This record gives sequence, C-alpha cells and structure tokens, in this order.
Amino acid sequence: MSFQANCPTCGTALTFTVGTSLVVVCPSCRSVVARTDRTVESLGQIADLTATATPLALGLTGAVDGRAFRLTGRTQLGHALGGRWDEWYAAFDDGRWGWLAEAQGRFVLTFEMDSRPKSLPPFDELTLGAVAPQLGAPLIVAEKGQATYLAAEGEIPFRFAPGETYAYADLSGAERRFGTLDYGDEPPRFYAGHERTLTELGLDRAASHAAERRVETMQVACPNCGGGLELRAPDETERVVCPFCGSLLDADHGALRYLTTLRQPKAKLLVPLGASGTLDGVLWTALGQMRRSVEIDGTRYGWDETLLHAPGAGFSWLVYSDGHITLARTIPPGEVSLRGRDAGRNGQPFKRFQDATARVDAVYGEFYWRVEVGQTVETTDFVAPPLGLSQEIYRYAAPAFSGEMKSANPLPRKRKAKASLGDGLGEVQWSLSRYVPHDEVERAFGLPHLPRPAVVAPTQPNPVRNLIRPWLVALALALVALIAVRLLVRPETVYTANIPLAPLRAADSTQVVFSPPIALRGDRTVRVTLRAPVDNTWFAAEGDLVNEATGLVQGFSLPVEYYHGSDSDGAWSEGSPSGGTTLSALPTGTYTLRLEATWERWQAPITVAVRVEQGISPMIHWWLLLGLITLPMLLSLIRYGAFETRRWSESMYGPATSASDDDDD
Amino acid sequence: MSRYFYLVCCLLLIGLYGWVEATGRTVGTSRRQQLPADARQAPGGYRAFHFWHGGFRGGK
Repeated sequence: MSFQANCPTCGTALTFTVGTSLVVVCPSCRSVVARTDRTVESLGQIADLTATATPLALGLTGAVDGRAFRLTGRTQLGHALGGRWDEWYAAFDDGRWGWLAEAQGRFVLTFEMDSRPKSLPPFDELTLGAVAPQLGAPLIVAEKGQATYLAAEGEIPFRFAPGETYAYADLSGAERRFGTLDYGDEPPRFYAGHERTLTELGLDRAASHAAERRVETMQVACPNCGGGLELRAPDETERVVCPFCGSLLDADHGALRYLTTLRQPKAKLLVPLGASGTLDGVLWTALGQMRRSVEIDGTRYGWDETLLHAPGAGFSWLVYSDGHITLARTIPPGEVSLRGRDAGRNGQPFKRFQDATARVDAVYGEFYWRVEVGQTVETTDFVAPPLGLSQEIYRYAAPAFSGEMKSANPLPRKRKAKASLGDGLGEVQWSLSRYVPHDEVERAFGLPHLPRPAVVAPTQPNPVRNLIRPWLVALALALVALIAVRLLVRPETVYTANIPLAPLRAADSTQVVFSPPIALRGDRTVRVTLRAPVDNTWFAAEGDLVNEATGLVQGFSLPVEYYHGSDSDGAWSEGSPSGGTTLSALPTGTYTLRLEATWERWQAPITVAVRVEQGISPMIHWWLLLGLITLPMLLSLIRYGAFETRRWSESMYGPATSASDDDDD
Repeated sequence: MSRYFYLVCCLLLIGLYGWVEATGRTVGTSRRQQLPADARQAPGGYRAFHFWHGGFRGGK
C-alpha cells in the first residue's frame, strides 16, 4: 500500500511505494524523510551520490530462488579507511527486504534473520579469522569495520541519519555464504545470505550494462608535477604513484589528490605496467607493482607483487619471489578451514609453512585499495604444491569517532550506545596461489628470459615424480601375473624313481646310472630333484639330460649334503638331504637322464630318490620382476624426499621443527 | 621419470615375465652341449661318452 507525503523540508511530493519502507530520500533537496505513525519527518540532508561503476539502478527488477524483487533504494557507505561502497535495498514480492551489497564487482544478497539468536556476540569478542560465536553457523569473521552513511536515494527499509557511523562485522562461510553483524542498533542485527552473480539475481540486463558502462582507461594529470598519467582501472583505483615525481596520489574515480612524495628506489618491474597477457584464460593488464618484505631471524626477505586487472574478472597478483612466480587471487575466507596449525580448502589439505609480518616497502602504479609504504599485515602461508594459501590480517585503529550520531537531527527512535571497537578494526584476506612456470609468464606477457631460481619455492612442484601410486598399480599387475602363471602353468611329474647304487670301488671313483626314456614338452621348465639318505655326510651327482635323437645334452650338478650336531651354542644343522635344479625348457623330445654319482661313504651302498618335473616356475623370476619395478620407485622416493627436504628447510614448520616441537611438548 | 613411462616399462617387464614363464625359460641354467656325432651314431654311444664332469667333492 503506497503512502503519499510532502517533503517537510522542500514540500516535494514523496511516495512510499512499499508498505514496509521507512525512509524516502527526497530527490529535490536530498532530505532523508522518515515516516512515523501519522506524519513524516526529516532526519537530515544527505550528500549527492558519487558516480560509481555500479551496473544497478533504482527500479531494476530481478528474481532469486523464484522470488521477484525490485530495487527501491540505495545508500553509499564510507569505509573507515576511505573508499565507499553501494548497498541496495530489494523489496521482495513476499514482503521481505533484501540487502544487496556491492563492492569491487561482487554482490552479496542478505536478509535480516527473523529468528535471531537470543544474544549475538559483542563486537569486541569477535576475532578476525576465527569463527564467530553464537550464530549457530560456521561463519568466519572476515572484517571488523566501521561504516558511515554518506549518500542515499530512493526508498529504504530502515531509519538512518546522514553521517551516522556504525560498527559492523562481515562474516564469510563455505559455499559463498555471507553474513553481517550490524552493531548500529542495540541489540545488534544479524543478516545472512550468499554472494550472488548478477545472473543469479536475474539481473542479466544489468550485467550487460556493466560491461558497456565500464570505463576502460582515463588520462589524468599528476596534481603535483603535472605529468600525464593513464589510469587503467579508473573505476576501482584508490591509489596511484606518479612515475615522474614519485607522488603517492589518492584517486576517487579519476579525481587525484596529492598525499605525499615517496622516497623509494627505481622500480624493477617484473611486468611493464600496462602490459597485457593471458593467464588461466583471462586477459590481464598489469596495473601496479609492490615490493614487500618480511623479517625472519633478523634478516629481511623481499619479493615483488604485480597487480593484474581484468574487467569482469577482478584482480590477481603475480608474485615474484626468489626467482619463482605464483599467480594469486583472493578467495572468500569462508572457503578455508583451519585444521590445527594447517588449513584446508575444498577438502584439500594445505600445510602451514610460515608466519610473518609483511611490510610494504615500495609501490609503483595504481592500486584498488589505499596502499601505503610501511603498511604491515600479519601473514600466514600454507602450501600444497603447486598451490598455496595465504592469510593476511590487516589491523588498524578505529578513526576518531565519538560514538554519537553526526546527524543534526537525532533520530527519534532509541539508539543505544555504539559497539565497543575493542582492540580495533581489521580485515582478513585469503588468497589462493598457483605456481606458474617461467615460460608461461614469459609467453603471456612477451617478456625476455626471466632469471631462474636457485632455491626451492614453497609452492614449487616437486620435479621428481613420486612413483608410489604407479608402483602400486604395477605391483598389483605383477601379482595378477604371478597368479595367472600359477594357474596356467601347472607342475607335472614326468619321472620318479628310487635308484639303488652299489658301493664304489674307490673314494675317487663314480657310478653312472641311466633312466628310461623321458618325454619332455618344449615349453616347460625341467626340474630335477634328488633325495639321498645323507646324515653328516654328502652325496653328489653330475647329471645330463640327453636327447638321443638330436644329441643335445643338458648338463647339471646335484650336490646333496646334510650336517647337524650341537656345540656350546646349542643344536645346529646345515644343508638338506635333498637338492634340485631347475633347467630352461628343452626342445620337445625324448630324453635319457644320466647320473654320475659319488658319495663320501663310498664303501656303503646308497639308494637315492630322483624326480623329474616340468612346469615348476622358480620364484626368482617374480622376485626379479618385483626388484626391477621397485628400484625406480625407491630411487624416485629418495630424490623426491631430497627435494622436499630442501623445500621445508626454508619453513618454520619443517619436519625438523615439528620433531623438536614435539620433543619440547 | 614420468609416471606414464614408468608404467609402460613395468608393463613391458610384466609381459617379459609372462613370456619367460609361458616358454619355460629360467635363469642360471647350466651348460648345454651337443653330443659328438661319432658318439651319437654309435648305438648307445652316449652312455659311454664321458663329458666334462670333474667329480664333485663336498663335505665340511
């Protein structure tokens, strides 16, 4: 049901088109007009909106999850560190209001939770990077900030005063879940929802307009030296460094303001600023480069980060450290879960590698945030080569703020004390990086040969392929082959006999015996075994298998000896009363077994048992096979481990560190 | 060494193993000679032919 009223300041006719809207911004005098039970009142005048690159506009209609909505209002909120973002208010057909926040081309649609927990966590009890308590959902505190109402238009579902400042905490969860704790009221309010694309919001038309309205580049002049500058992402650039005079300039949609002159060394650019190249299928343009460093054990280690931008894709970083290159993109903190000291993303574990405080040492080009030389962040790096995860926590003190509303017209509704800002504000950024081979970057940006690294990088893929998995496959196949051989090649006894031997004439004489003809097939091994009743003595036979038709003679030896006894160490024995030999297959035919025997106790007769079998597969073949397939795997393991040792020798959390930590515990 | 190359080598080795087993070959088979023609042509001649056996002497 619509409600008509006149602006109390200028008399312009105003219409509250949505029954549940509470505020309308007068398009004539910019008064924030709130309706009460019987009349309307002005809450103060608010500034004009600043032109932004938003693709949205009042009156746009869309639908999400089958529910239609219309954008009825918008506020522009100022961040405590500067910069602003748009928040749109969507009136749904079912009477609900949606909060559609927009920043850096990303959209988050949230709804106020009707079934709020009885008590929401106080602002100063929220820890950056940790799960927010008492919400009943695993949402990570991604930012603790302070916002100010700078400008507004249209119909808005809540009362606010121009210039009013409030504290908030943004929360991030898995599967693009998002939440906001708004400490502008007492008790605080909780909004929850998801990050959405314009297509998911049914705002495809706005998405196409966004591409059309995007400003490609902008030519501006340095306010300090007058040098001509080209802004390559003017809609989003917040800071620019003049390459001529070294001035650090504040940028607000192309309007530059001199801040300070940087004393920094001449840039050694990895990628020339303005150069474009395709990585991961996206055409990136280099906007700026930043030199950062960390201090570890009294030594400062530096690296360079090139900021890349692609319309529609956002920002990426090309990080050049110790001659290694990684490509990093920010990801929602909710995508990462901390597991003890390690982290995980999408089920993939990442090992903690290093904690440090990173400092900005030099900046060149343009940046989408208010970068400053000397700015520090707490960093924690995790690796799962070739991927890496980095957490950066930026803390800053709350700007001077009395906690009172700055509006000239205090709101009639009850405003409680503002949230305590505790130990300050801050935000958590997570980035996912991928190790990029040099030639990929050289090819993408047309760069000359980049220096190659001399040390191992945290995310550098191990060049040695770990062969354990293929070895397991090969082992399984070898076992299958063994079983198949055992099933297909069955042993067969072709001759067996007990042969009595008369006493020898002398100790150095021999006795020769012959078997009847034995039929042998040509594709099976031949095993000859001999068993003799030896007891602390020996028996030996030189044997031949003779093919009477072809004259082929296969010789072999069959020594048998068995000794046993006892001494001070106890009973012992060695040898065996039986022995055998396995011969390669002989050509198919009839053979005679010839044995020429001699034995130690030559004066006594002896009877030996002889057996000839075919199809006996010596296990030595399989063991040889196993050795040949295992050796490369073992060598690869050794080389793989040596590389990992080099990698983790650079880490605070290497295996050696872990071991000593455990010892300490 | 790439995993693919390694697996191919393993498959070749397993194939070699299967071929060795299927054809009855084995490692370490001792000497194989041809009986001289004069011995072979004499009836039962091979029985009298004395080869290279030097006589084993075992024991401790």
